[in-house]
Amino acid sequence: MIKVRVHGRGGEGAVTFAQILCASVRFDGKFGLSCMSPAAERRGAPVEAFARIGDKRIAERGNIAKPDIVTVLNPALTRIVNVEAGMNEGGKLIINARNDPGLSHATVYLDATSIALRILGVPITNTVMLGAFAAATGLVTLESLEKGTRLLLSSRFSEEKLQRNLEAIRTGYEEVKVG
Amino acid sequence: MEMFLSGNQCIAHGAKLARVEVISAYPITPATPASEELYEMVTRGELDAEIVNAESELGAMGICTGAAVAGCRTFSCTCSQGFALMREMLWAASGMALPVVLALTSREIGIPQGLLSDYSDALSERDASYLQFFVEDGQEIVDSLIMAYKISENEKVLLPSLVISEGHRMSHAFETVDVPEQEQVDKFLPKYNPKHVLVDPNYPITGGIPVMSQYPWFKMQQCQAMENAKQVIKDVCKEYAEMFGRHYGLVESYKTEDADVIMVSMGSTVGIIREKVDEYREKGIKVGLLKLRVFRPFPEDEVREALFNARKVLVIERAPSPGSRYGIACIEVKAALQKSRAAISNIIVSGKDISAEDIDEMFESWMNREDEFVEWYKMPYDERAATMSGYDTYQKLLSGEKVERKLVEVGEDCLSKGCSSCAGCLSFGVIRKVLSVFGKDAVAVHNGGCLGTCATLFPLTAWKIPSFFYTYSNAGATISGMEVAMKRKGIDAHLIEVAGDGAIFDIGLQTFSAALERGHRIIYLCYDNQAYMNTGVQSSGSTPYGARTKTAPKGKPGRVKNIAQIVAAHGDVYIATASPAYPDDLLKKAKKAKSLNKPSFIHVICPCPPGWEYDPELGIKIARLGVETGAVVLYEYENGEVTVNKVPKKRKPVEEYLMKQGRFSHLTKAQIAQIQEEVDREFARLTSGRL
Repeated sequence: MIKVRVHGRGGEGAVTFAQILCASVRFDGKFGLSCMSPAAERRGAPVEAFARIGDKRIAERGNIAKPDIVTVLNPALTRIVNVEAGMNEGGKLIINARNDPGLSHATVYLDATSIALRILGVPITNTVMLGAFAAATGLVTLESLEKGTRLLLSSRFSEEKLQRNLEAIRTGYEEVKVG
Repeated sequence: MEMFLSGNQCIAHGAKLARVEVISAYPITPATPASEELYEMVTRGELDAEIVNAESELGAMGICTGAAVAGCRTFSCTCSQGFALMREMLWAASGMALPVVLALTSREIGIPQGLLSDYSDALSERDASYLQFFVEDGQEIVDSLIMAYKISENEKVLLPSLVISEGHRMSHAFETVDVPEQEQVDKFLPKYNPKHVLVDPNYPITGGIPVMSQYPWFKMQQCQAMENAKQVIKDVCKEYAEMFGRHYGLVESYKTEDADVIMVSMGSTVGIIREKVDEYREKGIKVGLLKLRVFRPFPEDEVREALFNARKVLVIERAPSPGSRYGIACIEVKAALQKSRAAISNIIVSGKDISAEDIDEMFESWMNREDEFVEWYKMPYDERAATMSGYDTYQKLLSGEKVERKLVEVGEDCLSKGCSSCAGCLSFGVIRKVLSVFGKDAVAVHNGGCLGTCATLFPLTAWKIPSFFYTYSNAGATISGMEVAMKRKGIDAHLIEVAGDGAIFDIGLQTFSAALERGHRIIYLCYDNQAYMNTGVQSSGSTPYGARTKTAPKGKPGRVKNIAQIVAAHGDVYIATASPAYPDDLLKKAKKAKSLNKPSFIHVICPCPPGWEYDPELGIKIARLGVETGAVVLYEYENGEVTVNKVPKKRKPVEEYLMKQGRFSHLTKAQIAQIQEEVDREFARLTSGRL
């Protein structure tokens, strides 16, 4: 089982990131279970969401203290939250940042805010980062990610808004430099 | 059909598949999204049910009880405080043999208010004659809800059921679930057709009759019904397995037959332990698992059969029973295992999230011990919290050391900067403004709502004056007690109740009204966002006509309570309305309230960016438009007279105010005209001096 922790701010889509990821892996024949940190309905507060991905039904639930992969949706969060807390040596970070934030684990970064502003017109980076996550980890295929996104967002979004988010995923997938 | 659902959505799907006819609920985290989903289903026409917006959980349970008496299949969902508030009606429903089914997304009961799940809510109603099903995942939520109706409605049972999942860990966890087809569920679960309760003017019966010496006889029948339920549960589970392919029972014994040591647990930890049993077995350890799925009726026979011959038993559970050495499940397991030679140990994990590593740790330490022990899992004293919360400083004070504390002066802020409210929140500005009038001589009391969440979270508090948080339904009672006692003790300070619209208009109205009637010298500051914002925007008694909320997806259809008229009906009370756009007016009214020797009610209409759906920077503009259009009228009321403080030279059309808010964006021209008429009428009445 792979454990993923997502950091963002309330309203930025960290919870939706984990939900889409877990819905998507099902199309690859895997199982996913997403959780979120208990918090009130408050915008702007640091939020954590969690995804567990495995080959069989996931039994473990709740917050993840020792993640294998950490994703950070908001570039400013690395300054106020210890996003590396509990990570093991081989852990990997996928971060929304213009420059390498200089953390102690292997880091893949991408200026997702600029891409989100260009494609979506709002600094909500979760779909761009999902694309980057897929490219950087190989845990989910781009095709399944698109299916999972459609499954989860088609009732909430207009077709046009959904299409733009799918484009955001593809752009994140293509533009992230995986080294 | 395979679906990707949260636990709350599973609850909604379970209720929908059971074709519930009457639903009533009240917002509470983390159960609210389940009722929101049901509102959506009813609005979309997928579920043909009456859904009733309750003013409190006591009301919700009362509505369900009444509806069940009148012959409908009924449903509610709640947790924690909400479930505690339901208590009186819980016992009424089971006493009247009503097969109501409740979904509980278990959460710790306050105080202190927590958000984790420890089963203390469900298990504190262990003896309320409810069947209790503890589930381990979303799949089991759907399946158990459908089965619960069939079991509860069986004529040998006729008792209500609780389907208990875990808050957040399940309610907000999304996973793959196989949702049964409606057609098949219809074959499994026939329509509810009660024979024991009847509302028929042509055949009058009396229900809920008082008894004298016969009470024990009724109670004995409840116990008999619980006993009967065991076989009914087994039969229904068997039938369910035949139709839907998933097997459940009173308990699940996993590899217990030849087990030397057995772990016992409930809820989500069971899933982890099941995997661990396989893993430990590969290492040659003869270990088994007993899942307690049904807690009431307690399956003594099945528990005894599974555990009797084990050498060691470890009960890993959440709910403690203060006053007993053991957790609640362990007490029951021990009672079932009399005369067994098993060494029974108990680990209480309370609300903590349990990982696979945690189970490894518990298992290893248990295997290394031969004694019987009771332990709380990983509960270290938090030194950092003690320092941050000021506990260390308080200890110094108690030991006689001199401790300097900076106190607020009149005109200063009673809340620290940097409260974690949403961007553009106006309520906090209003609270700061009003309380600045009092300096250090104020005691703040609050009850549920954004203020509690954003101003205090252990070990930190933003308050610089004494502040106390009580439960939601207590807008008037606890503060009355404080007023009486403070007078007696000679403590000279102003008491200010800071409450949202939910606490004043709805759940706390009873205690608020009683406090006004008694005439305590209390200032009630109502920051009115016109909905339940802390739980994510559900309709309250203050939500205006047409406003969209999650429990009114097409806009609120009904009426609004005129709270000022209710308050005025209590006699001599100073009433004032205010707006964050007019701070000087607000300040003037707060000072007036401070100078009076009677109850005051300051009612501030506070726009809320997420709830009213507007760009946070527009808050003050919208608040001002409220006054300029007459949708909000700033006035004072004393001695039977209304004095309007701000009369716009020319009132703007109310449409300008409404169209700035996303919650009104769906309104038709005709609806806007209707609102305009209502605003004109209210404005004319108030400016003519009548409340």
